[in-house]
Amino acid sequence: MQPVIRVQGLEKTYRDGTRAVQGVSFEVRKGEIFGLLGPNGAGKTTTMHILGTLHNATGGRAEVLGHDVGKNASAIRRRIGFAMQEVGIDDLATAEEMLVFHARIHGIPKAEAKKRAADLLRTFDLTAHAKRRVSAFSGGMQRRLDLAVSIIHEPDLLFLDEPTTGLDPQSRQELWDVLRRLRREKGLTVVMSTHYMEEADQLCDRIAIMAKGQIAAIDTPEGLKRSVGADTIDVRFNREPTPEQRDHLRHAFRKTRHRIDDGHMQVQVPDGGASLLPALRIVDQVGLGVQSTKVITPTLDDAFLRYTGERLGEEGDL
Amino acid sequence: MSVFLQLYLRNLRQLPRIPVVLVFGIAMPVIQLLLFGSVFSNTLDTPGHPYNGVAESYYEFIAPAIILLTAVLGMANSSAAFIVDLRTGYFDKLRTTPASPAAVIFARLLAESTRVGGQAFIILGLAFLLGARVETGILGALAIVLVGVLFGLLTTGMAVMILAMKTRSDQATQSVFPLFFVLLFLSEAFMPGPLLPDWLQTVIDFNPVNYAIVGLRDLMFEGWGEALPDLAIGLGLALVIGGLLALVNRRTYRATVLG
Repeated sequence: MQPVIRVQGLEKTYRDGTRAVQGVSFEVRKGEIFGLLGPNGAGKTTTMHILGTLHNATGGRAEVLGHDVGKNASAIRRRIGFAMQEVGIDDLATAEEMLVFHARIHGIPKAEAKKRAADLLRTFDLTAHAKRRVSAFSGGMQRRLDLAVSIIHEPDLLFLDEPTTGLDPQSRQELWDVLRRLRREKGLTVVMSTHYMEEADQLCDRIAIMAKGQIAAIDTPEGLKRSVGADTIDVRFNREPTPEQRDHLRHAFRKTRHRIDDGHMQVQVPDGGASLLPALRIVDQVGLGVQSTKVITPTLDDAFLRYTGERLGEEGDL
Repeated sequence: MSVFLQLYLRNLRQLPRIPVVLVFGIAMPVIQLLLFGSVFSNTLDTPGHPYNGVAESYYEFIAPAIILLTAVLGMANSSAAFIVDLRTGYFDKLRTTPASPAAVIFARLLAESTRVGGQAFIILGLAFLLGARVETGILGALAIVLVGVLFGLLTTGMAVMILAMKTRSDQATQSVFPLFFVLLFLSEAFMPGPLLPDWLQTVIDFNPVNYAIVGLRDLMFEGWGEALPDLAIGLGLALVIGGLLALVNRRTYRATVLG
């Protein structure tokens, strides 16, 4: 199947000489939630703006929904939704007016536009504020309205630039649910940027790690984490093992990296989930009881560190 | 077309939500009409004044010029709501929809033209109350407003959009006022040609504003036949200016917005 987005060697150098995007290539498949993960200034926003026809590229090629972004912007605009980082709302309109207006410029008849507006106001918990001017809305409300406006025409492809910045944890969870539902019911494809590890991990099917205008790695969240290294199984015994028991354990786990001391044992395995039970059986055979177990998996932050040499840092924590 | 209509209707809905533009756009010309009309009322009696005995009062004499002023200054305020869209990022949001930037800008100018047309009619109505009459009748009155709006649209209307994209500042866009005032004073707006100093009589031949004023005045006092040549020249020059400004708009859009 033809990918929804195909990007090859994309470059953007701004007039002031800033090389925001330096040769980026990737593909996004239909129905996928594709994440661009990276710190501020990594080139995520610029990449999305080029794909959303907001800026021209200065090099490379990009096709969105089968159309070249530089040549056929209007065909692309009919089928995308775009929620920008700085919420784009009409300060002089009410929430309902904005929603209906956006449906209408996508050619949706008036009655249907009003129905969809009402539905979305409900989905995003804004029904009580439908007739209020959006300039009086809180930051979180404006962001929710902007998202509603971006999907009222049921786009095939949705761009979300840091969609949950400024949302409280509950609204964030609700937005994730809405996106998952749209993907399931309408086959929506989503390209989103984020610097929240947890968001990328939980929501995205695949993630491109971006730093300094380049993509350092693309894979599923699992794949990225796995590429960092093994899982660790941590077993705490109910008592200190005897020297004989230690020898048995060392022998049993001789093929993997392990450490036994202070009444507990750490074993590195490729897949912690699958190896836990066999490992516990060995512990049982040796005659030791188990007080607690833990499987420690590498995090996306570990993957980020490996590919970029930097930590995404505290600002990325939820 | 439906996109353009939706944009136009949205812009009309916004007009009462920036009341300062509505009030300012009407208050200034009203003050000017009343002020100039009374301060210079005796100039109509100056020997050699061609409208001595023709114009009912000086109000009537300057009414066409004030209507042009209303339209041109009114169109200079066209950027207020556009600047709000630029600053909030809503203009960019629209650029990700089927609303093309050209449609967004022209729908804005058309809605503002509608507002300015209404404001110009109010001024014409006030002049009527002060005794002014339009020789060419209702059609002539409509033509006076329409010509004024077109002239303002093609000159200051087109110019402020460029300044808005470049600066995103209301102050900057209002810098077009003084330029228009200079052109207004370098015309027959307040004094008829024969009473102007010699050098100014030469200058007015190169001033597009003057052709518009003379044409509008002919619609008021003479007839269609007298008015049309000057109106054609005035609007023709405005069209050339508007065309050039459209090119600059395009360049500015590419340089500042598209990046």
